[in-house]
Formats: sequence, structure tokens, C-alpha cells
Amino acid sequence: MNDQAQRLAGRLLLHEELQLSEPEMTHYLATNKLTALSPFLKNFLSLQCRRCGNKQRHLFGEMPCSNCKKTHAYCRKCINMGRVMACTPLYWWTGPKPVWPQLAHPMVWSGQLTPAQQKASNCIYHAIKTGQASLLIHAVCGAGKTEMLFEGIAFALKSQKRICLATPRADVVRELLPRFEQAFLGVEIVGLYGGNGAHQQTGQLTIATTHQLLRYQHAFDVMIIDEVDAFPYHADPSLPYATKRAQTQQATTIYLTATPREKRLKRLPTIFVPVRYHGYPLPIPQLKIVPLFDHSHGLTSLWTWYKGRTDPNRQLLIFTATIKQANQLFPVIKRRYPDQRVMLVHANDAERIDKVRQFRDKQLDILITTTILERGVTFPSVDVVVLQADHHVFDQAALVQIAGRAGRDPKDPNGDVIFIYSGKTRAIAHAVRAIKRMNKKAGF
Amino acid sequence: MQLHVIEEPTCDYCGRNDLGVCNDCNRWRPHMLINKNRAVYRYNPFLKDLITRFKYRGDYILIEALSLMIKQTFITAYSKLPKKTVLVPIPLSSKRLQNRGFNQAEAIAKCLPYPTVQLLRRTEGEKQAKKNRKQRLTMKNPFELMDQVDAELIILIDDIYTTGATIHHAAQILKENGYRNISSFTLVR
Ligand SMILES: [Zn+2]
Ligand SMILES: [Zn+2]
Ligand SMILES: [Zn+2]
Repeated sequence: MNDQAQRLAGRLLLHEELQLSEPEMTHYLATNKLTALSPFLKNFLSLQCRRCGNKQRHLFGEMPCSNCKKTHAYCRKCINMGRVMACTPLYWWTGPKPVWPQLAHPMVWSGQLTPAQQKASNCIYHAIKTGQASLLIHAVCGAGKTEMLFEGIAFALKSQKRICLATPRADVVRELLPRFEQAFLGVEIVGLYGGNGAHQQTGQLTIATTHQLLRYQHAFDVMIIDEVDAFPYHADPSLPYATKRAQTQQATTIYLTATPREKRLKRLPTIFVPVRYHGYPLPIPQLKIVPLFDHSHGLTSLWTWYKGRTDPNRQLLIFTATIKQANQLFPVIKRRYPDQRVMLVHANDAERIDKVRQFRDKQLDILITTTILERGVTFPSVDVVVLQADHHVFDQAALVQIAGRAGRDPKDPNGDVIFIYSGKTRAIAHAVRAIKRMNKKAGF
Repeated sequence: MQLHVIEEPTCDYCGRNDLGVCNDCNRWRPHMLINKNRAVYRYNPFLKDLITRFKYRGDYILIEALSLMIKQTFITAYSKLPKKTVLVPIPLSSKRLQNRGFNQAEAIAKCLPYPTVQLLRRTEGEKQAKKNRKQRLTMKNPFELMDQVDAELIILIDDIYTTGATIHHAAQILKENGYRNISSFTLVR
């Protein structure tokens, strides 16, 4: 029974996702261990999808259903996770609570925290221990956020609490999972993101893309929301909806961000971590304005900077606003620097995981990328160039994150960050100001 | 990338965009079981995504966006039809129908101005997606007759005509049961 409780507790699943035999299913339903919930909530005249919270009429469709011989609604918003329709209930575990392994010392990580990290770590520990509702960690890129979480998570694990770390990107889940597996021993840890097929497993510690939380309800006692300012979290209302529903009533929510923009966040109890774990300041972006009548679209600025870069041994990340631009740039860069190993990666790239690994393994010198690599993914020693930094995809949060890719390693704490643009946007100005302010706070 | 409507000239047998008889039909044109096939769209990555969303994810209302073009293509390709023309959608196995909640061939048939009759059923599951061309063509006929209809012309309806194996298997069962005048119509060729 505990096996089933561990597997199903806190999840909100379609019939086919339960993976139960018909007799098991009938038994659990008859004994109220499993409860069937109506898939749609009917408010006055309007419909709401229970799984994703969608209320928009145009995101519901109607189909003549061969199973119930009726024409009825289905949700188009969350259809990629399996279709929710009027005649398919969502199932929720109402049986015994899962019991997790009792571990005296789940954390085997023995690294050293910097004083700034230790202070944040203490606050997180305290928040979890006292059941504080929320805490915002405002930390610069490269502050060492993951390690700050370890002590609090270890306490939660020992207290039989369930923890989720939600992040906007699958790349980040892939990067964090092995680090947590190394830091915690004997703990059931599961990493979830679209298409990795692991959604049948569960653990006491879940590392997931925010989208995966659509499959949870009242599951987590500690919810850590990484990059709460990042797209798509603040753009898609179903993500905050699912994040809230995935938590238990007394849950502690810990928000992590490098750029708190929303007023709602600014009102939360906040801990600043303005200094990077290696103690060096954040690289300040250098602004290159594309002159009028420049037909190279900023490439002349790129060539000039490249010739005089401070450390030619660093790898180079070039960010473009669109996939199309990345595709156009790729042959140009290859022709210009024939002795450099150049590669191109974007969101719809099937070989994306492999290419990022090659870059990390230093099998590539220059990686042209769209904003998919703006956050979470770290490389020790890179220079960063943003072409067309005034494009609207580069909002303040994105620019701060992109700049934060440079200087991550104590052996090379600097790195050139170049924004190339023709018209200065608020996002550029605010990003530079935010970076300078954090350096000042850190005492530089 | 967009939808690519098939225009003349087409292969006079399978309706593929081609001059005269296409390579596929030159290689394999089994006993002229059907008069001809006609299709609305050429296969391309955009259509592939659309079909995935419509058929596998089950976003039924996508058919509404295509229905006008489906109807128009049908009327142009089949201009003078006998009064007793009947549409027969290729059936799904009951298990697959239960999973999907609708039969995509039936959804296509509903866009057309003739009555639909469920004349066939599957004797076994459908798994041709994984089979190669030769295996598909030589496999045992997966259909059987489940009803009777008084029709001068039967038009089989399916979503995709790839090798033509499915359509020809269905046509073969109909022929064996005395229906002699058979054509077919698909969304994609
Ligand atoms: Zn939904
Ligand atoms: Zn139904
Ligand atoms: Zn042909």
C-alpha cells in the first residue's frame, strides 16, 4: 500500500496515467483510497479546466465522443499532457499518506558555504522549520543558490516533508538532478520534464519543470520556485495556478530570483545574496551601439570586440533574438572564424542536449543560441555577446541572466559581456542598473 | 511553412501531385480495386504537426478549419456522382477508438455532402505505423463487413493514403461482397 501511496499521493491524473489494473482501480475507488474528481468546474455560465485552470472559451473545444455518445467539451489548453474532457474524471489519491525512508543524515554534501550563502541558508532552514508561508531569495547569478537550499531540504526530508523544486526549463532539471543525487543519499529523487517519460515515478524530492505541476494537487510541503520572474512562469496563468494547487495548505514557498520585478514579490520577506560564491563582482555589460547606416546589423561591432577580447581562450556564447537570425548568423561566423569550432542551438533543436554537452566539454569554441540558454545552464569560462539586445525577447530578467553566464568560475571570475543594439531599451538600462546595484550592495 | 493543397496535374490513380501515373502506382497498382483516390493536401511537416494534434492528441475542432477545403476538393474531384453514393470511413479498432474518443476518418466524412455508413470493422488492431512497405502490403486483411447498404458507388474515406494498403484492403472486402463501384478520398496523399 505504501508503494501505491508513494506513487499516487498528491497527484491529479487521468485514467491512463494511473497505470492501475481494472480490479485495483475498482477496489481503490470503492474503498475511497482514490477519488474521482469532475474534470471541469462549472461556474456561472463559464467552464474551468480543473487540471490547468483554463477559463478561456476559445481554449475549449467540442467533440462528438464515441465513448459516451454525446457531444461535449474538452480542454485545448493542456491537451499536450493528455486530453481532459467532460467524461474523463481526474483521479486523486485519498488513501493513507505515504511514508518515506527515515534518514538520520540524508545530506552527504560536505562543501563549505560562503558567509553570504550561509546567511541565506539559515533563513531558508528557519522558514521551513517554523512553517513560514513564504520567503524570497534575491540572489545574483552565480551566488550558489543550489547549495543554499541543501540544509533546509535536509531538514524537510528528515521531517517526512515532501519537497518540490520547480524551474521553467528542462535543461535546468537535467543539470540539477545529478547534483541533488550526489548531495543526498538514500532519498527518492525524481526529475520531471516534458517527454522524459518519468511521470510514473514519484519521490520525496521532486525536481520538475513548472508545467509538470499540472499533474499535482496538495502534494508538497515545501515548494521552491526557481526563476520566478522567468518566462513562461509570469506569462502563462496556468503555471501559478498549478504551483499553488500543488502545495499543501501549510506549505512553505521559497522563491528564487535574480530580478524581482513584480510588486507582489517585492512585498515578501526577502534575503539578498548580492555576492557571487567566488567573491568577485558581476561583470558589467559593455554597450555597443550600432551606428546609423551600419549595414552589418551590428556584426562590425562584434568583429572589433572579438579582435581585442581580453582572454581569447574563453569560449563564446552569442545570443540572437530569433531562430531565423541564429540560422543566418551561423554560416557568417563560420566563414569569419574558420579555425573556431562553431555550433548553433535553439529551442526546437533535437540535438540540443548533445550540443550543450559538447560546449561544456570544450569540444566547441563558439555557440550561437536563442534565449534557451539564458539561465540555469552554467559554463566555467565564457564571453557573452547579445546581438540585437534591443529586441523585445530580451527583457530585463533575460538580460541580467544572460550577463550572469560570464565569470562563473573562481579561476576565471571575469568575462566580457557585450550588448549590441541600435536603440537603447528600458530593459537594457534597467538590467545594467540592477547589476551595478547588486555589485554595490556586495561592497564593490 | 503552410498547408499545400494538391492541384492538377495529379497521378490519375492515387491523386498524388505528379504527371500521369506516379512511381508508387507504377510499381504497385493492385488489380484496380478502386476507380481512383483523390486527396486534399500534400504531406509536409506542417501538416504532420496538424495531424498529430488532431488525431493523436485529439484536438477535434481542428477539422473545422479544414472542412471547407475538404468539401471543395471533394466536389471538384467527384463532380457527377450517382444518387446512391455512400461514404464509408475506414474504422479504428475498438480499443483505439476508446482511447481517441473519435474516428478521424468519420470526422472527415462529416464534412462531405453524402451519407456516411459504418460498413466495416477491424478484426485486429492497427499497427502499420511500424511496418515497412512490403510488410504492410502483404499483411492479412484487417477488415470485415459488418453491415449492408444499397449503394451505386462507395467512397472510402481515410486521413492518409501512404502506400494505399489500408484503402485497398477495405476495397477488397467490399468487392468480395458484391460492391463493384468503389473510389476513395483522403485528407493527405
Ligand atoms: Zn486544461
Ligand atoms: Zn465522452
Ligand atoms: Zn499514384
